[in-house]
Amino acid sequence: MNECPDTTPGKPPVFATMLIRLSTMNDIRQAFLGDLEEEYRGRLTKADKHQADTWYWQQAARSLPHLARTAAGQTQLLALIGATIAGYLTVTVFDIYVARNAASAYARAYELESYLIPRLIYFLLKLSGVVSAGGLISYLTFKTDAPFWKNVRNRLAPLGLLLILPATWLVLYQSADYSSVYRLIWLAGIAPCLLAGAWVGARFTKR
Amino acid sequence: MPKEKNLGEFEILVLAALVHLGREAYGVSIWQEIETRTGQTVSLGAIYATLHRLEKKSHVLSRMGAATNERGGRAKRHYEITDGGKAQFEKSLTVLKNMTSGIAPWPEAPA
Repeated sequence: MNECPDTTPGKPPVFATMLIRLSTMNDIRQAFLGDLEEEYRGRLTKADKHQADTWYWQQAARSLPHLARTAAGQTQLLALIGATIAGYLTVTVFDIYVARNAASAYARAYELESYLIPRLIYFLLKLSGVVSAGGLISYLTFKTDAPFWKNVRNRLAPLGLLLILPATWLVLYQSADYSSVYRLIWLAGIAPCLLAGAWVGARFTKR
Repeated sequence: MPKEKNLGEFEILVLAALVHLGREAYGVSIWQEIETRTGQTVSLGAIYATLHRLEKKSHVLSRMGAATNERGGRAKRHYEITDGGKAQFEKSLTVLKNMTSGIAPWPEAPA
């Protein structure tokens, strides 16, 4: 018995298409999806569905970072929210998983009675989280055609304030454990660390 | 007036493809042109992101074409290089030529 060939044109993977829809801005979304579908159908006529699906998924995965970044640049609000959340997460992850663990491990290893050195290490590591947060903010929000200091004034300063105010409030007023030395380190270090991170992030933004 | 920066490598590739393809260039044809001529694997997303950036700098113009069935009923977006884009493209090529002239054949290392 002859099998009836399936003449229904194949549809691209739905989940990959959905991911692209979510990460692409309006004005290029339809053209981009149309291009992908045109090439996908062309491949279906030459190869099997598995190969065509694989190509589609590869294109989606490799395109997502480019499209999401373009969309983030287009949608200022999304970029600002994304940068702030990313900044908070970076400092928090550094705080919980890197800085505290490293400082307590150091104290245990050297059987220290005084916590001065571990706490200094803790703060320095925590400030490296602030450097990363500055880098993320600049990478996600800085405009490539604007001068660095203009980006700092318009984007890094407001987001940086949002990021560091709660932590600074905690260090200054809410914890009796912190001595004035730690408070000074935090206050003196946070702005240069944010700036240093932003400077490094801006190097990548300008590619 | 802000100083115009030289184009990046991928921007030059995309503009070169637009010059080769003319007014009917669109995502897939640009992608194929670059992959065929350079032998490199590139993603369509990178091409669209670059086209968007070039359009913001007024180096390219885009217009919507007709929707077709093989594209799932979606329209093509055609791109073409502007006069400003041509000037910037030529400037970047000149910079590259100036920097690379006299390099090949590879000079022998001193003994």
